[in-house]
Order: sequence, then structure tokens, then C-alpha cells
Amino acid sequence: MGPMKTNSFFRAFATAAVAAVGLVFPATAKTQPASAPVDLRIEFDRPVLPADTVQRAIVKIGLTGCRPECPTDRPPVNLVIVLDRSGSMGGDKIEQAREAAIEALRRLDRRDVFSLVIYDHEVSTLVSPQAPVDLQRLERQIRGITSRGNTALFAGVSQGAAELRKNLERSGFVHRVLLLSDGLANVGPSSPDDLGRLGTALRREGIAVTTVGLGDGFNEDLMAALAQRSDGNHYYVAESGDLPRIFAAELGDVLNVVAQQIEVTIEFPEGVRVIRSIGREAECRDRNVSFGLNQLYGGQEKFLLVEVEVPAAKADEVRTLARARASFAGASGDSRQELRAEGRVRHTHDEDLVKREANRQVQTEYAANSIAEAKSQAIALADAGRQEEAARVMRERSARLYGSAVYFKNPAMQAVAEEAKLEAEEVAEKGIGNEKRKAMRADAYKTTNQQRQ
Amino acid sequence: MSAAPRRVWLPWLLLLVPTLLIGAAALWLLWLEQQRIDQAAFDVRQRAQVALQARAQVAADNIELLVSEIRDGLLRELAETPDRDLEALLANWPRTNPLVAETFLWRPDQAALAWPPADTPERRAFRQRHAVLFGGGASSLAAAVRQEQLQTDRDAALPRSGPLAQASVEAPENREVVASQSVRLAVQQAARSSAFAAKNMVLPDEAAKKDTADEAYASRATEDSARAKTKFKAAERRYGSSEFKGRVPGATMSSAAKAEVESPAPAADAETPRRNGHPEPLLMDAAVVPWREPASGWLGRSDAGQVFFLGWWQPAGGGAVRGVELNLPAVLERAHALVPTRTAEGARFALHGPGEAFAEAPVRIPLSTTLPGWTLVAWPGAAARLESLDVGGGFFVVAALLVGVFVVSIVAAGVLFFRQAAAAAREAALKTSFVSNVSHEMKTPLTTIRMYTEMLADERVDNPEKRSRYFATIGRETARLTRLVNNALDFGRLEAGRKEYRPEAIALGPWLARLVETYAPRATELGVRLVATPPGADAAVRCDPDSLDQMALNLIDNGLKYGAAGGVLELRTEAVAGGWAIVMADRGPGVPAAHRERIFERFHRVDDSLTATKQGAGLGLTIARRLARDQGGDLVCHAREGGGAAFVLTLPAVTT
Repeated sequence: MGPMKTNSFFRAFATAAVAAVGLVFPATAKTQPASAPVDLRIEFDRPVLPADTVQRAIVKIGLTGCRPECPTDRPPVNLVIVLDRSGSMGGDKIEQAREAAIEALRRLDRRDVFSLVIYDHEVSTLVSPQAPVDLQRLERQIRGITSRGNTALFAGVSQGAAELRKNLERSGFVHRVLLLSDGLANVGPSSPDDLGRLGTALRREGIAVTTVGLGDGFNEDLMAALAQRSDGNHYYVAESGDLPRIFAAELGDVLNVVAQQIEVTIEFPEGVRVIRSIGREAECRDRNVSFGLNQLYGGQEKFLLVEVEVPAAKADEVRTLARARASFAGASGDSRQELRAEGRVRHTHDEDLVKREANRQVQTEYAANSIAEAKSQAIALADAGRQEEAARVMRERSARLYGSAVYFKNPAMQAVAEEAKLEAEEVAEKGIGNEKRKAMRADAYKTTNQQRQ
Repeated sequence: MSAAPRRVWLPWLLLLVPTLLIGAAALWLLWLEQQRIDQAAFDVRQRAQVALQARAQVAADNIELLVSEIRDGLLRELAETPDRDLEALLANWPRTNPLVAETFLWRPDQAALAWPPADTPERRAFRQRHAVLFGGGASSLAAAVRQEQLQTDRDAALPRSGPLAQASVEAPENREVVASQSVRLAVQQAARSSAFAAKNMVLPDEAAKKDTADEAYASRATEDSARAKTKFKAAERRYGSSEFKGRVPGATMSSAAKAEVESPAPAADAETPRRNGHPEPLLMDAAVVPWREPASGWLGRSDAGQVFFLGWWQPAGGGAVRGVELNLPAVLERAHALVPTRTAEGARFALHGPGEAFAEAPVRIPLSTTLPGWTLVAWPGAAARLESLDVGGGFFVVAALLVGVFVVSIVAAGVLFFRQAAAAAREAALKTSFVSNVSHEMKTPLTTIRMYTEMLADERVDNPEKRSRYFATIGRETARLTRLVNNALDFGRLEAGRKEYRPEAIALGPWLARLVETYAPRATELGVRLVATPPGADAAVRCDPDSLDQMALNLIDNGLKYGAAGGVLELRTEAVAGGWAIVMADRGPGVPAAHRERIFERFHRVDDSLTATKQGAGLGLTIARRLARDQGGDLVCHAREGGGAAFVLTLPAVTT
């Protein structure tokens, strides 16, 4: 775990050095085994807070997967591709989908398990779960897929889950459903809420569903809900030509899992009031916040932002503001490990110091997630026919963030706010069309779930 | 004259009758075959339908078994968890069990939810959507629990053997039979109750308009029947099968009967008022245990278009009700895995939720016991294709067309054959007539020539005048023979198409004068006056002179032969478009209308008998017309006004 070691060593060195100079207080204290594949951190938007006043602070609980040392040192993957072959997929779309599936297949090796389910108004398993050994035969089978019929999305996902479940007990596998659809689910349960509930159930079994929406006919709410609740990725692909790239990216993630079944709980000390979690869904209960991840990929950071109210404190008082505990299974799903981290803040009367020490990255990330929230609100408002209000929500949010960015001299955050402003103007002018809505939904999803592609 | 048609008709009938008979027989056999195919297809379809139905039923049973096992398992877990571990179970279950959406703990005495707290959006949503259930009142969970308790109370009050004896007159050893009947009845009853429930679920708006409490229904009976189905799993079951059997007859009672039983209980009367004539929530009897034993059940609710199933369990003697809300999509996902995939014959299966179109599925099995509103549907495969092949008796139509073509072609070939035979026969008759005519024609001049030659040879004629007359007669008869032979030769040449023409311009004036001069003596001899109207100097035609002479000879010969009685034969010319017409008209008996065209046919004579008064071979007019037509002209016959016949010979004018 070379890179990780260097990383943590550097971090430790940097904190120690800075602490010695006395400029910054070490914000994070960690107790974790040196070889852990995951790095748990607590950061604040402002590690130094003004004294004697009640403050609102943004707490970031971040998990970074360390890149595995050896590329072959990855957990085997139990992958099912669930392909929509309904009539609307005809022509180039089904062709690209076939190529994308083959692309994904080629990235697997014989330790993995591959299966492929196709659905229209009925569902069938084209490739039953098997190690991808006879690639030529499998590719021939995939190339034989043609389009027809309706969209029984729920049954397709069910069948996919059933195929995965055949190998669910085998330890160490990463279980993944890769769902491609270009149409509205019109057979079987088809509300975003139903699919969300299904996603929740699948996540508890360790199955993540990555949803790929193709073209302008699919229901992005449903696809996003399914991905989000099962902790998979969600992609919006406007041009079918992008499909192979998206599948490859997804496989890149899946083949790069460093930890699974991650449960994180954050405990805040008495006096601190949890206001809400931002972006990623989390369970907030009194002073405890918890969230879970199905999988963590190497070299990727997943985080949760929590807004809290911090009681007034005297200047120069240092106190622990949050304690986090993460438990996870290794890549191969073996014994569970645990990590702990603490986050501390210092209070001061020096306003400049507060400004200077502000964590620009956390601020920017907060801004992006806040914008994502605003986008979801705007979509809901536009759906209700309140286009003006939708634009206003985005405009106000971007204006507020812009103000903060200027105050803290944070150019990255400023850029995020400016971009949101432009988008707000676009919404005001053109409303949220079908394509725009899908793009916004996918963007918001990527931001809140820290998805790379 | 009748022998020839009989000869023709006999083989004709021999051909036609069997053909028609065989055709009709073939059609009849084909029709029978079609019936057989239809029947076979129907049987296949029927068998496929039965097999499909059976397969779908097995799948539906499996799904119901799965869901009821899930339900039983959850309730068992709720029931078996000791109080001290309850909080942990309630808190952790929704996070660890994929099939559990939410848990709850409800205190009937306070009509309040002790769990879950309203601390997360999910939990707040749960409390909100089921508020009506936990608030109290007749149709809430309280009512369900109370009804359940009353039911168990009633059942406990009845002697064990009582209901059995009432429900069945059969001997006690037939308990198993009674039980299975009861199960069926319970299933039917459950189907009724779930129909009500499904109605509520598919029409959430309508349900919302009602008192929302009415949405709730209890599915205890359904539960019970599902358990009855799974009673082979007795070891797993919490409650003994003897108790179950003792309880089953209760489940067979109709709702009305139950209402009667319940109504005397003042508590029930006071606390379960009926609303607006709506049926009471169908609270099925299914208590597995008598009063003061734990009670449990399932409720189905719909809220904002979504369906929720809640299971509850109350410990013995009352107390806090523990409950669980199913994660229905997760249950459905598992149920989908039990839906059969497409069979080798192409039969398809699907699970349809409330309000989904059935797309005319021939097999529908409602999963009313455990998933009211959901239906397992199936479409047949190969049998349906067979059906499409046989739509409208396709086999018969095609086969009948083939038979029809066969019969028609045989009949048509027969017709052609017989027409040809008749034509050949006619030809033969004509030739016979021709030969006899020609022979007869030749015989007469030959006889004359022979007689006069003999008389002259015997030198019996002394008178020189007489002798010269005899010589003239011999000469005339020889000329007649020559004409006859010439005509016969010409006819042969024309028939073979070997006649050669040497056309040249012929001025009609001089030609007509020469004609009159040549024929006047013979006409005078026969007492006929030849009257010729001389044409203008410009009248000229282009024709082979020999053929023109022959045409004129034949026509004048005819006119002298048949029209002599009229005493006059007129010859004149007329200008017509593109040529000249030479008209020869007599005042004889004329040509009957029916023969006016046929006289130009070869060998045709108006009087064809050997006893005919006029001689001839039936060739003259045929040859004349052929000669005229070969040279661009024509020859026709008209009736003449005032009697007689007019023959019009048209010939092309001389082109400059």
C-alpha cells in the first residue's frame, strides 16, 4: 500500500509541522491501522471558528479508497448486465448497447462471474452466471440481441438480481447490476418510489445497481432513485455512441473496489445540534448521523457533508466537534475492519485567521452539493409548472454561495456559483426541457454521490 | 342425324360425370380433413391451455408460498423476540433485513406509536402515511386487533367439536377432507375480501375520498389459508395443527354469519359502527389461537398510489402491538424470480400489478391470498401459433382451390378435345360431299361426251347439221369439265397457298365488253339476257387478269345456274372508296339469309344433297372470294331488292 502510506505519512508530517509552527490546529486525529485500504477523515469548512457566538459549520466526513498496489489484487466481480431490448432501442442504440456489453465483458477475467439479462415485455437470461472463459461464444450471443416489445424494467432488474443472488454467498465478490434502459418502465412496478424501495433492499444485500439512461425517453427520476438507494452510479447518455465508454468507466470503478459494505457513524458531542445532511442521504438521529456505502473504489473519495450548529465557545478553546467511526469489509469481503477519526476546531476572535484558515475545498464541495440540492428543487418546481420559481431558487442559491466565495476569496467556489447562475438564467429563459432535466438530474446525482464520470 | 351427337356426347359424359363426382368427393374428404385439423388444433390448444394454467398455478402457488413464508417468518421473529431485545430488533431490522421497510410498536391503550420516533424523513413519512391506522377508531389497527380478539374469544367460547359438527355432517375421521374443503372456502372468501382490497388499492383517490380508515382490511383468513397450504411445514409452525384443524370451520363461515355471531356482543356493536353503508373492513376469522393467546394479522393499505403491507403481532392478553411494514418492491423482486421464463413452446408469463393492463392474457391467476391486486398472467406459445395457421380453415381453402383447378382443367381439356373432334368430323363430311359432288359433276359431261362420241363413231348421224351440233355439245361439255378441273386445281393451289398472281392494270370497260361477248351465246341458250352497263373510261382495277376472268366466270356461271329463272343477269361497275365494285345481280330465287355468308365456305352448298337439281362442287364462290381477298379486294353477297341475289366484287383501283 505504497501510495497510501506516502499519503498518510505526508499528511501526518504536514499536520505535525503546521502544529509545531502554531499556525493551524490539527483538525483531524486518526486511529487507523497503517495498512487500511480506506482513509477516513473529518474536515470542516472553517477549522477555526469565531469565538463567543453560536456558529453554523459544515462537517465533511470523507472516505478515500487507496489504489491497490497490484492491479490484479482486486476482488472478483459478480456482474449482471440488464439490457433493455424494447422496440425503442432499435437501430444504432441496440448496436451500441451490444458493443458496450462486449466492452464490459472483455474487461473481466476468469475469476469474475458474468451474466446478462435482456428484457422487453418479458425477461430472459441470455447469459447465465458464468466465468467469462469462452469469450467468443459469449460475444456471439450478445451480438444476437435484437430489439422488440415493451419495457418490463422491474422484471428485468428482478431477474438480474436473481442471477446475482446465485453467487451472493461466495465471499469476496463485488455484486453489481448494470442496467441500461432508454424507455419508460411500462410493465410492472414503475414509480421512482417503488424502484427506490427496491434499491434500498438490494443495497442491504450488497447489490449495487448502476443505471444508464440512454436517449431522451427514460424516466430519470426512477433510474436515479434506483441507483441512489442501491449506492450504484447513474449515467445519462444522450448519444448511444458514448455507451461503450460509459460501460468501460463503470467497469473501471467496479474492478477497482477496495472496500465493501461500509458503514459510517458520526457522533457529535453534547451541545452541538445536527441540522441536516447535505447531498448524500444519511440517517440523522439526534446527535448521531450514519450513512452507508456499498463499495469504495480505489483513488476515489466519497464523503458526507453535515451542517451543524456549534455552541458559543471562548477564544482559543479547542474542542472535538465530531467523532467518526467507519467499519467495512476489505475488497475481498473478508473480516471487517474499523477506522476512527476525530475532528477538532479552535475558536478565535481573529476574523482574518478564520478567513485564512477556511478549508477552500470543503467550501467548494459544499457549494457544489448545495447547487445539486437546488437543482433537484428546481426540477420539482418546474415539474409543477413553476418555472420562474425554479429559476429563482437556483439564482438565490448561487447568489448566496457567490457572496460566501467572495468573502472567503475562494475562486473555485466562485466558479461553481457562477456556473449555477448561468444555469439559473437558462432555466428562466428556456425552462427545463426533457434533455435538460435528464442532464440536471444526472449532474446532481454525480455531485451528491461523488461519481467520477 | 342423331347418331353423331350421341357418339360425341357419350365420351363427353364419361369424362364429365366422373370428374365432377371425383371433385365433389375430394372436396367432401378435404372438408372432413379440415374438421379433423380444427379439432386437433382445438385439442392441442386445450391441452396447452390446461398445461399453461397448471404451470401458472404452480408458479402462483410458489409465489404465494414464498410471500406467506416471508410474512410468517417476520411475524415469528416479532413474536419470538423477548421484550428486552425488542428495541434492538425494531431499530436494526429496517437496516439489516432487505424485506423490512419499517418497524413499529403501537400501544393500544394509549392509541400511540411508541416506535418509530419521528427523527428521520423516512420515519416521519411512515408515521404520516399510516396515521389513520394508529390513531384509534373503528377501522384503525385498534379495530383490527379488537375484532381479532373478539373472534378468538368467540372461538374459544365454542367447544372444540362444536363448530366441526356444525360445519360438517361428515364423520369425525373425515377431518382432513373437512379441512381441505375449508381451505378452499377460505381461499374463495379471501378472494372476495381481496377483491375488495384490490379495488381500494387500485383506486387510491376513490379510497381517499372515503373515510380512509376503510382502506384497511385484514387478511387473516388469507393468511390462514396460506398456512393451511403450508401445513406440511408443521414443525416450523408455531402453532399445532390440531388447533388449526379445530379452528378451520370458523374460517368457512360467511361474513354474514360472522356478523350474526358478533352482533350480540355489545362491545362489538358499540365500537364498530358501520359507515355510509360501506362494508366493514373484511376481518376474516383466522385466529390460530384462542383468546388470551397472542394475536397477529396482516393489513394492506394504499397511500398515494402505493400499496403497503403491515404485519402485526400482539402478545398474549393484549399489550403493545409489534409490527412491521414490508418492503413490497423487494418482495415483488423475489416473486419475479419465481415467474417462469419463456418455455420451449414459447409460453410467456408475467406478474402484473394493480391497474396494469392484461393484454388479453388467456390465463390469469390472482395472487389474492398474499399479494391482493397482483396477478400472474400467462400467454400460450406454440398452440397460439397453430391457431394462427388454421385461421378460417386455411387448409380447406387451399385444397379446394387445387381441386377446383384440377376439375376445371380436365373439363376444359375435354371441351377442347370434343370441339376438335367435331370439327374434324365436319371436315371429313365436307370432303366426302366434295368428292361425290365432283364425281357427279364430272360424270354428267363425261356421259354426254361419251354418248355423242359413240353416236358419231358409229356414223349413225348422217345429218351434217346434227353432227356439227353434236360436236359443239362435246366441245361445251369438255369446256365444262375443264372449268371443273381448273377450279379443283385452283382450290388445291389456294389451300396450299401456292397460287401466284401477276397483277396488272385492267380497264373495266373493254373487259366487261369482252365478258358479255364471251357469255352472251351461253346466256341466250339458257334464255337469260345479259345486261351490261358500260363503265366510264377511268374505271380500272389492279388485278391478275387470269384470276379476274376466273372470278367473273364463277360468278356468271353461278348466276346462269341459279338465277336463270329470273331471265336477266345485270353487270355493272360502281366506284367505291379505294377501288371499284363489279356487281352481278340476278332475279333468281336469291340466297337465304342464313347461307349468305356460308356460301363462301368451301364445299358449302345451299342444297347439299346428291339429289340436288343444280350441279356443282361448292367451290366456285370460295375460290372467287379467296382470289379477291388475296389481291386486296373482297366478294360479298347481298339480297337484292325486288328478289334475286347481288354479288359485289370489289377490287383496288390502279394506284398512280
